[in-house]
Amino acid sequence: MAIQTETQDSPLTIAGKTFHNRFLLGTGKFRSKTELTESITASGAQIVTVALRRIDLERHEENIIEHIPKGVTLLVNTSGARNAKEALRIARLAKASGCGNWIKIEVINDSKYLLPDNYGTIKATEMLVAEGFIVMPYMYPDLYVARELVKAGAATVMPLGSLIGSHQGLKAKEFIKILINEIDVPIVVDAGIGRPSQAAEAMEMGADAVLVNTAVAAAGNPAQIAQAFSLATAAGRLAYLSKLPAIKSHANSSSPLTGFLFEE
Amino acid sequence: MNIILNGKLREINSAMTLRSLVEQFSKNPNHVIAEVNGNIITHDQWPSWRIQDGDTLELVNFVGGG
Amino acid sequence: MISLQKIKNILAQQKPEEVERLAREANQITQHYFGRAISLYAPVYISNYCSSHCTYCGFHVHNRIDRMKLTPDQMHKEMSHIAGSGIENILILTGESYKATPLAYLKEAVEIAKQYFSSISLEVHPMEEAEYRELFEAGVDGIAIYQETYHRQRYAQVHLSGKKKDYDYRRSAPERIARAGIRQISMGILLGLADDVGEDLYELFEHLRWMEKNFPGVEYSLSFPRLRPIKGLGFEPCSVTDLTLIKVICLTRICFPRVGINLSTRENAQLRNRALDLGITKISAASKTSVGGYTAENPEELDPQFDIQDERSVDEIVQMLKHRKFDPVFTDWRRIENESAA
Repeated sequence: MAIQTETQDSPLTIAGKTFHNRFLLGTGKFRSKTELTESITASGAQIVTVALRRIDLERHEENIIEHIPKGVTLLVNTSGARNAKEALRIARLAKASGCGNWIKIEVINDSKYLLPDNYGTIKATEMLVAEGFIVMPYMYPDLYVARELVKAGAATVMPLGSLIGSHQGLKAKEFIKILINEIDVPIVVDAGIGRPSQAAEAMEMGADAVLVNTAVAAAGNPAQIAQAFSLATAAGRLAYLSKLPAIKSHANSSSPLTGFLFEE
Repeated sequence: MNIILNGKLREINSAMTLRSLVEQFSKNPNHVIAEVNGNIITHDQWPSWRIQDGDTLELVNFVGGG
Repeated sequence: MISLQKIKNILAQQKPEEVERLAREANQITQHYFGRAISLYAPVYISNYCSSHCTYCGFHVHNRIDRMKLTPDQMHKEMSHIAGSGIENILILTGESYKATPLAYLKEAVEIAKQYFSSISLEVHPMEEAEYRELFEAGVDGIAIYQETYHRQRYAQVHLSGKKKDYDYRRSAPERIARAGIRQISMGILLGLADDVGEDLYELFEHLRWMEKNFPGVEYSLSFPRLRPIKGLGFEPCSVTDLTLIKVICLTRICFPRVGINLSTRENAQLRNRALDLGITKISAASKTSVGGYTAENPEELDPQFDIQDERSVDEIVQMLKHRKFDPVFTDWRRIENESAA
């Protein structure tokens, strides 16, 4: 289902490719391939993330690519990489498959919180950009690091909202706002978005897109919640474009600061 | 012939090509990526690529991920 | 970044309650980010030689004034007088003459200033990055360079000859200054030059925004000198009311909470006092704007760049600040070594 909006919004543009849906879907943790396909279709997601794993030699499982509708852009994540070198190796494997060269860099050397290693991410971004990959780095919202990522050639910057799978929403809200203000490439809020309202919140404050995985895959009705997420993302975007009025402070009758300007 | 396939020791038929090996383990070899001794071997080379004794092979494909 | 339309709306706003609301927001932000600290500085004009023709300025190349350039001894005299009043931040100014006041002359002035002041800024002609770097290594902490007006057509109308005619060279100077390592950059527009204050302010904001994004480590400040007609020049500035000036200050404070805002002695004491509540963070004290003006025997015979309206001494300013519970700061920066990062 594609979200039709009549607004004057320019499309999301990443590496020269345009997308009208700002909701990105992760494909991990789905109970069945059918639920995955239905979720992609119901939400109209145009970019989905996938991972690379050793094939299961006993089970001969079907490749997930078969279940992703044609025309959807694949974003291969480097999950499993604990440093930049490993991320590069995974990226090269992905490229060899012929399934495009869009890579979501995940350099995580932390099995407790799954927090991204910002510095490994910068290194990985430099290495992958040098080899011609379209790089979308997943990172912890730090302005210096975001600037380095842009300098290194990242196509977007993907700050986490909160810990992966935590459904805590935008714990890092104020710091994501700083990135939105200061960084000129698209900001895709990734990780921790647990409810459609949180996706809307991210978009209302000016994020360019959101990526959700666990909240959809683990839901009772993934396709339905995926649709809700997509609608919420579009609603948040529309609200942002409408420029909500600022919250005004109350005026009072005396004018101690500027009264002198109006005295005769 | 012994090789290490996806981290485990395995005995395979000496006459195997990479193509026939992959076909043994995957319904759709086109989406499998093969790395032999740290080098990625492209699909067009598979039919003629002979596996050697002691090779380390990694066969990976796409799975769901966030 | 605030839109041009919003700026225009605010500048058009006449209702006292709305202006007060704007002021209150500016006041709160200033207190939040700057507390009660007000930085004090003094300008010293060391040369009024100029090779450009700016129709609004008394120093322009064709204006018949006595051209003067301080010798090192004269610089010592002026600077020691200023330092005697307690000033630690000095702003060294020259007209824009590449020949009369070349880099070597400026560096000499900086060397002398170092003996009297803990922080040195310059407001001089725009130059190359390598030259700015030499100034940085010589000990310059800040450079002030105002685009005057961002409106290209108006810029061309008022800058008739000389290097100042080159709009782009001037506009790109802040970038060169930042690349050279200079820590403080002051930018601004002359109120009264272009008739659309809103547009000029918007362009200035955009320029500052760009600088902030690309050179985030620099400390920025803005200045809004209000043009006054100068006898014999035949230049009529557009009228800019006190209300407009106050609104410009408030808007700047609201849009750029951490940027310094400077108000010189061009403005009268009452306005300066009031503006302190609204976002001003830097003021000059006991200024003289003629070359050698601090220690001249007959200062009224000298040609000032602009007429001073606030003639209070440093002590008087300090007293006023303390009375209004502001915290006068003479120095918050002491240079140890200016080393280039590269």
